Amino acid sequence: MSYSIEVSDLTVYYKNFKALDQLNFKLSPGKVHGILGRNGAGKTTLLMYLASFHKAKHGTIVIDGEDPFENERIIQGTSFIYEKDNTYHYDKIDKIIKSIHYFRPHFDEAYARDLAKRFKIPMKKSVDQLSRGQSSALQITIGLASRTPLTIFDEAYLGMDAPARELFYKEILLEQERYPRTILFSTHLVSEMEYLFDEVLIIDNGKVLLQETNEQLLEKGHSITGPKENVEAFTKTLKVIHEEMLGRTKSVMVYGHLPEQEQRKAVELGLEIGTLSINNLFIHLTREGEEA
Amino acid sequence: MKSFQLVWHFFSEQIKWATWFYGILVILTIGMTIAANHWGFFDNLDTRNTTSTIFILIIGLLYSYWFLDHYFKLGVSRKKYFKAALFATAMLSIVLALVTTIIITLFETIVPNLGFAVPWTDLLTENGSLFVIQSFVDYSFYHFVYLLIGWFMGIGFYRFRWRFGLLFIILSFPFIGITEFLQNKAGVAHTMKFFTANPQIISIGPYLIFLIMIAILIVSNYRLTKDAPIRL
Repeated sequence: MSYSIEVSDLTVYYKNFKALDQLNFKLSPGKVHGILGRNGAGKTTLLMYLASFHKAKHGTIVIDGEDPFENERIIQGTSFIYEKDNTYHYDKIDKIIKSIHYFRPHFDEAYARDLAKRFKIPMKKSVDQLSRGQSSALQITIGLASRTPLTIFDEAYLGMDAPARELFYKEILLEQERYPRTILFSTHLVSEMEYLFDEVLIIDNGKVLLQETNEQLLEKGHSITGPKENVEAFTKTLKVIHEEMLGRTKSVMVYGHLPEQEQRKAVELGLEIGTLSINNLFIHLTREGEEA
Repeated sequence: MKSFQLVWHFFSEQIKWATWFYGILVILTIGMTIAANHWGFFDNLDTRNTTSTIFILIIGLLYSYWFLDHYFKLGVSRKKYFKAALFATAMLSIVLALVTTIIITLFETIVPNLGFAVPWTDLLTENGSLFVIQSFVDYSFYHFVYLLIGWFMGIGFYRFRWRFGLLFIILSFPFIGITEFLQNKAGVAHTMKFFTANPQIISIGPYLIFLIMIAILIVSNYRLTKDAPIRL
């Protein structure tokens, strides 16, 4: 069970600041979506609207065919996992895990306990006594075990060490195989998590910069390296997002479809063609205009 | 989650806090009774209202910052939360009034039998059982209104942050003032005699005013909650 998402002309203002500017996109159900963007791009604002934390005033949001705001079915089926302030949360972990099934009908308590054990979350402690990483791990445990049709992770791993993050990523893949749902990931650890994404949505300055499947995105990012003159001649009509010089050798990153015929031509010119990671594409696409 | 389960969850969380509060209050009252009898000060302790009013007001303030936030993030809609909160508020008001009445009655019965003087005047039990029942009803109304006032202030702060939140405190003053005035039965009767000599109207008048205030607060709290933005 998983929800589809359709956003049309969503615009959000914080006083005079336009945080989201006429966003239009569709997210297919049952997939892992990477929601990427620089600091202040509008990711968390968007996720808060998708989770019905706020009512959309300009534009519409449709989740699983319905307006999600105050929609009991959609709200019950949506988890928003982020770094919470637990300073005043005195309940014991054990009690929390016991009580979630009242709220989340698909919550798997045995799985939650197993995950908590693997994340080394001390069950007898209260939430306010957990370290930052343990607190994040607890949120992730609840998020995964709730098995809600729409699960949103907004920088949910903060404070978690590398082995715990690795366990989280593995569980995402396993859970997605067992109980497919729509998962949205907002993250800055793009290089670490890009293999998890089925689709990627990049937001820049409140606007959709691009939306592609993981494969499409990888097919569109190329590095071209070779003698400066040949590289410049070859990339004259391409969208160059980054360039570097090393003596007479030039290396550029381009974004766009490169047909096989073009690739053969590049080889004939003595150019080396490589692929770009999502992380590289994200860094350079969102830095346009900033590059020195 | 079914509505009654949510009401029960909400109510039991509040009762847990109330148990701590009343436990401490009872211990303090015992201590003060002993102190008052030994050293002769505290000749009129106000154990009934002021302290429990502050507690009730704080619980009301936490409705949005703690309960709305907590339950929404567990997948409960604002509307469902509001209904559960309202039922839990009514239940809590009645239970706390009952507990208050029982504690005071027990104190006023047991303390003199132990050879001590009760350290307050206007004994609840000296006017018979009907007066005890009437006091229980009064406490219930009183608690209910204060919970709603706390809720009103809390949702104002939660929704509009501190600047406009302060406005909600100011808006609460008339409700607090009227509620406090209605506690003073002699004062109410004296005031109402300006308008009518009918003893029935004089006796039910305060309750009517309570009910009007309750209706205004419920409608206001609902309108403020139904599309309240949830904070991260």
